[in-house]
Amino acid sequence: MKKLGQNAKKRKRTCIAAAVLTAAFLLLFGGYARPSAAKSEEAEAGQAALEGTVEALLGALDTEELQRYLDSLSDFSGISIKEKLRSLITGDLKLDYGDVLGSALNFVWEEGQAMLPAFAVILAVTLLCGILNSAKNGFLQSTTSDIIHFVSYISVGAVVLATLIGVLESGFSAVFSMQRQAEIVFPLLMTLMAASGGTVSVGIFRPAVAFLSGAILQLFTDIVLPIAVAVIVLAFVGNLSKDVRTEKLGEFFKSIAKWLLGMVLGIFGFFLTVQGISAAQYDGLSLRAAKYVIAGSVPIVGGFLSGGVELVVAGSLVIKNAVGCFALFLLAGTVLRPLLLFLAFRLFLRLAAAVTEPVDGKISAFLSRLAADSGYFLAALLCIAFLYFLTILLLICSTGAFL
Amino acid sequence: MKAYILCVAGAVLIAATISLILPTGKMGKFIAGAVRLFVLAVMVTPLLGLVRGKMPVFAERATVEIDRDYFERSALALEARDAAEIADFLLERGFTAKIDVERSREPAFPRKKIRIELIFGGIIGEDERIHIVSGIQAEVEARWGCGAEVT
Repeated sequence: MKKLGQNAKKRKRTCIAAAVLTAAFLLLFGGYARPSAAKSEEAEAGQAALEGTVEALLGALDTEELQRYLDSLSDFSGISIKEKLRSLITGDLKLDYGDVLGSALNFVWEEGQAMLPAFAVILAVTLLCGILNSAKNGFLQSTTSDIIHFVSYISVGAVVLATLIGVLESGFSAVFSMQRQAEIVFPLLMTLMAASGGTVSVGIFRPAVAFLSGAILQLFTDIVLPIAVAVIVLAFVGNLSKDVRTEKLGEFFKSIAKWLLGMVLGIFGFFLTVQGISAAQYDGLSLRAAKYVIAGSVPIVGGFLSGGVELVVAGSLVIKNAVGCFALFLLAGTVLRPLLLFLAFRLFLRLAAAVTEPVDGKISAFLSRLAADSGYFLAALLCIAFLYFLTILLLICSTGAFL
Repeated sequence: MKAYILCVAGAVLIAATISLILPTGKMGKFIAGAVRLFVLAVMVTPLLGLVRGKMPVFAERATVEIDRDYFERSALALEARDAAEIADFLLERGFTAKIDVERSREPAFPRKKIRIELIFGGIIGEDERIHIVSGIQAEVEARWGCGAEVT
């Protein structure tokens, strides 16, 4: 009887202990299930609030000028800028790299094929010149063969320069397009940066952007690009006569171009990068300090208030980054065509130089020199594109320091 | 710059053409020398003018203007959104109201004030009215994080 009583007590104690342990377990760990469920609801609510804020801010953004510019371009007409920005923000915009590479290679191939008639003319003229030169020691006088060589050189030069003019026009057109894009995109980015509270960043970037759009582009269009064209022209005229050479003048212009490119890239790029990063850090600290003050000074409400401000800041920054990304895509589309055209042209010149070398060394040397010297124009074009790209990238990347 | 390059190219072209048709002998050498001097003069004269003249100025002609109207439009859009949210919030609690939200026109557009004029349908006692107004005011202030005036 006593044992039965003791067993019952033991069982009772065991049950009580199990109940207490279960209750303790539920108190300690059961509560975590609710916060994670609540967190996902909060996250969804936050996401919805952010989307609503972004939509409101995007609706207020004036993109009329950018839309008009896009409509003026054959490759981008019919595109709605606000729809594209929405796609970028939601991540719906997908880039098919295979398609892009395929289109680029196809373009180079087509341009190469378009240059084939010019290649045939060069080859024919060089062959004729070679045949006549071999007759120089025979029945033709030296002076007559010099005249024939002069005429053949002018003919080859005329054919090459006719093709080159189209390539240079494409390059100049790209430079003016980039200038126009800078005039449209930078005010949008500055406005969005100011709206998100980046006052120090705006103060730093605004004069730098104005300097890029104004003085630097003017330097390139008035000095550097004409120098690059001068180098090409001097490469042509320098081989006309062995008595009048212009190689050193060409070297002089090349050194000016190199110095200017190096100075602009080095000085402007360096200062812009350093100032931009430090300005973004300062704005980030200011915003965090403001959030701390608000959250600390206003009880209970402070967290919501600072969170609401953060939502608008985040919305403005998201739109700013989307505008910046779109500008980068636009830049790539603008620069890619002349870049590929130059590539095709230089390949064409190298091929022509290689093929004509056994027949006539002077024409081959001219074509080879022209292929090398046309690189200065390409370098100037890429320098402008790089500075523009760097500025937009810094404007986009100043985001992270704010939040 | 373009004019300079065209002048140099033209001078070299003329010099090359003349060198082809030059006679042999002393006359030919004299003409060749004169042509070279001519090309030299064409190359150097503009450079002398550049050295004597002023340095070209690359002034900032471009200006980057911030669209101030964007702040106004954004604040208005956010105010409209806030008003719609508050209207939904009050509707859930069975109230309709005239709502006016005021946001700052400064960056980040923080809310400044919310004014709600409740529309009471039936007859409500004064105490109950005060209780409803104070309750809604407290909820709105807590949720939207700014001062609220509920009448």
